[in-house]
Amino acid sequence: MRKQDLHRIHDNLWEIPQTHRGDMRVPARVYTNERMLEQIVSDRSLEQLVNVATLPGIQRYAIAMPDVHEGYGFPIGGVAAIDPGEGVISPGGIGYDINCGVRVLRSNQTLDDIKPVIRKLAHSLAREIPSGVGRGGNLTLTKDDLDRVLRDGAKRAVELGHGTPEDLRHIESEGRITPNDPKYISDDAKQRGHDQLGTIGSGNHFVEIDVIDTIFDADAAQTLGLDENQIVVQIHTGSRGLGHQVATDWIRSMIKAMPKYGIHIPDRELACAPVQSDEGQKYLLAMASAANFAFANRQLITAGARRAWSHELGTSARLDILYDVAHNVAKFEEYDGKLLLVHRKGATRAFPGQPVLIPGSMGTASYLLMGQDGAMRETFGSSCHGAGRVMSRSAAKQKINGHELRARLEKMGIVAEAGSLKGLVEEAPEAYKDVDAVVGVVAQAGIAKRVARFKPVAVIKG
Amino acid sequence: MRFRIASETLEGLFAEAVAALTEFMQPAFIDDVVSASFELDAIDTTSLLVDFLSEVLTRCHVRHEAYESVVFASLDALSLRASLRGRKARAFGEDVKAVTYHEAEVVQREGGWSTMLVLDI
Repeated sequence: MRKQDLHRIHDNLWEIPQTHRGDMRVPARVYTNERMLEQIVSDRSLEQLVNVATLPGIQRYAIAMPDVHEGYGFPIGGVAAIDPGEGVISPGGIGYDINCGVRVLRSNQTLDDIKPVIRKLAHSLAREIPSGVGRGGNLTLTKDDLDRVLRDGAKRAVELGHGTPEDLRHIESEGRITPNDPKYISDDAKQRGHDQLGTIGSGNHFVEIDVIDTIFDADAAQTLGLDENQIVVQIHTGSRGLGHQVATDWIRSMIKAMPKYGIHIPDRELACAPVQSDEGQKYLLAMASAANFAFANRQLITAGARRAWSHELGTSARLDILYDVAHNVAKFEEYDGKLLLVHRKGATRAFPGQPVLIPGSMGTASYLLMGQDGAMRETFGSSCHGAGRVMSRSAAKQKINGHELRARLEKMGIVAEAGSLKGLVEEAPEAYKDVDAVVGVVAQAGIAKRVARFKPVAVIKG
Repeated sequence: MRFRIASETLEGLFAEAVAALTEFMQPAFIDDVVSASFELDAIDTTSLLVDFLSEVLTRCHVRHEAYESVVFASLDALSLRASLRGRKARAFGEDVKAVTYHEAEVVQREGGWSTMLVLDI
């Protein structure tokens, strides 16, 4: 894709016209500024977005957020709204890590309160919350127990004593997507997940202690109980091996099913089936169950964080859920009176007034945004989900020295509890886009407004 | 994680894929020898290879095993019957979450078969 293939709509929105390729059913739109567009055209994310624009039933535009980068089939940072009557469901439009998402916990401490114990706090979090390759959790579930988690999500975690009913009020969909049905999740997927609840895993997943360094919207911040210098905790993880196996199983199944529906797609990773088909309906039930596993996972991690918090700071120290959002999921939502199935892969729901959680890299900043009306008009209620990678993990490992990185983070006042230097290097700040610029685009486009900015104090990762 | 594999024969290509996966996952072997057999079919050879390697990966995760050799009772463009041999693994050094179809395209040219494979890590 060349920059001249895109038409500028305004400073933060560019369009690839439907005439760009004969099989496009709608145009493709990219929210970005001109400087980031130069970076975006350097990988294949926009070719992938054009491929998304060919999906049966897609409405208005295939949309990319400013953090867009190349994924498998769908670009990461992609949104596609599909007419469920005539269109398809594509597991690749949700991603392998079903309901990968972010949860923010609000503490009643300031930076000064935790400074004396920050290392101990980071260490306690690392002890309470298993992370890294192959680390199982503290809870091993029987098949029946697991099925209840897949049905009831965070609610089941709370019933098992890992939180309070009040927690559920602050989670997207109250931590439980319905309808769901665990019987459409394979035994292999269940086996992969049975000991992974309450674990972060590896890759770009983390638990992070942050301090609020800037409040952009005092009224919104007050409504959410946020103030400058307050400490918050971010949790970024998803459905672990269970979700990956569900995606693997159903992409395979849909590749086999497509010929009978006469569906032709330009990339196998876009494998899909009509929403109303047997495969489509079963995948939706499986996806919802896997999403519930992820909500329960973040609930158990919250319980671990709370144990660490009270161990180091006393029983009056609180961690309340501010919000929890999925950024890899498909949901039925109504736009202009029409029910659509909105695929979000590396994109966050941003309904007006809803908190939008945007983790940056571990050395820069993260943002709390609030959805705006523009999201409903233009992006099917969606915003960006993070900074977006610009450097592959392999490239990061080649270019960045782990010891130097750890020293640099220390100098910035950031404690890093990492299972391996390799894991740390893969997530170095320079592997990501400028999160300030990414958030600037969605704010200027009227998709979501800035409420608060977080700076990292300690990061725990695999 | 992307890597290119090649072999003179289709069987060799599939065996190379298993060897590459096992090497990349860095299993901490224990000495218990294990074996597994299964059958697969797919709509084309590329899907057959990716589905085959996904099946191997799933078994690694579910059974805590890693595989060092594969024998095919049959293998054609659209189906296979395979027997894997390997050892129990206490842990893996790398977390391979999925085998993807991204960039995969099994091609036969003069000199043999090749494809790119991309693992989700």
